[in-house]
Amino acid sequence: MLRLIDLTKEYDVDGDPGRRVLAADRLNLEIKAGEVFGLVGPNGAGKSTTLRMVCGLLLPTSGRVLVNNVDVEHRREEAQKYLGYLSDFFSLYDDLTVYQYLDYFARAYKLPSDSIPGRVVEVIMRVGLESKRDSPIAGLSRGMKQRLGIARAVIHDPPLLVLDEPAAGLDPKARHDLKQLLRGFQGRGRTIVITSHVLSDLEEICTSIGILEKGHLIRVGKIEEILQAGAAPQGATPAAARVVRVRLSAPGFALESWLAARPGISHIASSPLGTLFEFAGSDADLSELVKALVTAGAPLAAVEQPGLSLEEAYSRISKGEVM
Amino acid sequence: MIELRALFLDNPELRRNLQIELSHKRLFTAGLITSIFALLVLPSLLTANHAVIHEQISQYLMILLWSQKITLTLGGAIFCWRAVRRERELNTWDFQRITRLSPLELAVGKLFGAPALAYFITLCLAVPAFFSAATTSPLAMGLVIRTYVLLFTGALVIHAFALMISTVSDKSGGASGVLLLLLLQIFPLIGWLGVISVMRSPQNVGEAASFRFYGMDLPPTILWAILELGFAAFFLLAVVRNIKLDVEAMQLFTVGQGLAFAAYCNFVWIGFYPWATPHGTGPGLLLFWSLSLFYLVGIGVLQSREVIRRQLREPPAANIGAASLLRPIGSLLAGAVFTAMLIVALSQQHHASDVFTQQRYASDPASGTFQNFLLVPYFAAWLARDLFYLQWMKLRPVRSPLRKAFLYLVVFYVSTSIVFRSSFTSVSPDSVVFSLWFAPFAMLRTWTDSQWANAAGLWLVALLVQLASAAAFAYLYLQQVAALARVGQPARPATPPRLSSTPA
Repeated sequence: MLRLIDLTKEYDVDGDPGRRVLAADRLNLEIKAGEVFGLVGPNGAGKSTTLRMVCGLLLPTSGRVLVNNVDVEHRREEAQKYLGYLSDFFSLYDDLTVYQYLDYFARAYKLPSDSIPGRVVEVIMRVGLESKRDSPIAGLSRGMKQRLGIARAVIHDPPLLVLDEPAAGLDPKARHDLKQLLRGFQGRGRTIVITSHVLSDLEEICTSIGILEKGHLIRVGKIEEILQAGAAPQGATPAAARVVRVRLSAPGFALESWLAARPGISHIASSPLGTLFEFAGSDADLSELVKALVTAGAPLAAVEQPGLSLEEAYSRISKGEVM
Repeated sequence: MIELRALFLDNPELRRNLQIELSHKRLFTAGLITSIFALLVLPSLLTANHAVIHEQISQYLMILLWSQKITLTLGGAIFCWRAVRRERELNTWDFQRITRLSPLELAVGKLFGAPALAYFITLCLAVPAFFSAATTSPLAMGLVIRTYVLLFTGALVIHAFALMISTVSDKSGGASGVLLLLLLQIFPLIGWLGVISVMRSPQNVGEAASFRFYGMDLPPTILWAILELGFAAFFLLAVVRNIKLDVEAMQLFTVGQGLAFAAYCNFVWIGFYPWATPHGTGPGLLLFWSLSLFYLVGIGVLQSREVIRRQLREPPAANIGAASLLRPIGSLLAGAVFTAMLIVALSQQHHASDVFTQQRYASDPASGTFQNFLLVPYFAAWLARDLFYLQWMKLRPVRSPLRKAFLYLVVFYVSTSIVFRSSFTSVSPDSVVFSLWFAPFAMLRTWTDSQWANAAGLWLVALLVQLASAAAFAYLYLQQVAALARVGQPARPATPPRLSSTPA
């Protein structure tokens, strides 16, 4: 659904002639239809710039963006047919009513005239603004305006939804509603690319995550892979093995040296929570390892594959670099 | 027909603007104020005797027409000037750019939608204006209709220009935009005032003042309206070209469009040039204005840092050469030289046939030949020098580079004009030649003097120096492009993501 090919954006630094920053540095990425892709990174990492290039709002310094195999730069209006976009800071036309606002965008997206009233009403219902249908936008709350912004982005039923910090400034109830709304879009096979600093929200709705720092995608993968990568001891190669934690009920057993002598085990690290290591093997192999450990006399309390939250995984993976 | 319907009747941007600008509250307020304004005349009409009533109605009509003029051209222009700027400030602009509205639909929607209230007020005031004209004389009625034709075409030019400024300027370009708007009010005012002046003189009513255009006496309303529509079309073209682009990638016109616009401006300018007057016989002033037009158009086609950077980075044009970099300004210069030669040829023709010129050059029949030969390349070299300077400066990595470059240029010319003021009025050829490198427009003062022939060598040196300056700025521009290419080299090899469930 979305492909970035060597996408690069260079900026000049004001007051420092000759110095440039790369808001996006040869980004290569493919997001398949139906995925919910979360783009995370510190402020200034290049997330918004990347999304604006995806939408054809910003000219890339080099590289291409393909939306549904349509080049955004050269066939902008055709590509934009497939795109719905919500930026991080935005306003609405306060003088219009909710219905008038959505009617305007439905026409601007060239929906057939006879289908527009029905579509507008349908979207208003989907975002839960039925009671505000004929109210002026100026009187809506922040959460309602956010929902109306999303309604605008989906009025033409685009297969790809690009949302830049849609949860910013929303209260918990509004955030919950937003997640429900996005799950609904995902359920109907729409692809969503979303940025947010509320990683717990992303963890709940995303199927894949990309971590962007200084314009580089330092990690891209399914959310479980990202979590596993965050959980892995430093230096481990997460794609090749799983991370296992063993906890003993009493000290006295030289667990680290015992593990080091076993095949398929690497990157052993101990902490008060237990001993983490990387294990290259199947579930049956792991079962054999546990049996051998018990046979060797280890006072085994727990064997687990540790799960981290996305926030913890991100903290471990991210260097927190900004441009 | 279908396109016109899509542009006007089914244009959602036009409809949205009308919904906002012509809300019931605004319509009521504007209607009330204009009604009061229109009714102010009634008491004087009822009390005045027949001898003075005609004069009072005429004055009242003038007030109405001027009110409409100011409301529509100035007020409407301010609405258009704010049309895109305000969207940018509110962060609603991106949402319009991402819709499937074509650039023309967006531009037309804003061009006619943003000043809708100004149009409404004008139409409200048209009712008493027609009433007043009808009570004055049937001929006055015809003149009022003609002022409205020119009012609307003039407003279209100003509004399209304001929308163009709004589209291509960033948030900081406010003051200069307003200044340009005020300056441009002058052009449509000329034709409009032509008709108004006829109305103000009752003895002239019915005698339409004519404009001399390429030696023909043409009806001013039709001529002016057509010319104004031409200007509006060019400004609209610039809006359509840029309205959906990233502001950093904007370029007012392509080189071809720029040349066409310069040609159109010259066509108008040469057409109105008063060849038959004592001051109109030499091509100096005409040449100066003509090249100034190329100067302004040249600024509009200069390329931005972002566009050049993209040309440098994109694989098909990675080896972008000096020839392709110099081509845009080179093409403009070729157009300018062609136009200048045409003007000189026209001047020579009039020189031979015009009675004023013959009297003036009676003592020196050969005068002008050498000047004609030198003046064109000299002005072209000046144009090249300044355009390459501006292009070089525009590529420098500073905030608002073009605005700064233009400001430096203005300061330079003002300063040198003050410093070399005495040289401009001097009869000494060598001091004039020296000062002309700094302020070439001063050459106009020497156009008809015999000093040209007395200092041929010096003039030639001055031309070579001017050409060398142009070459130097062209070199600096190419160096800046080279620096841009170097700076843009990748800092380090691209690192593929370590995990990739979705490989590219």
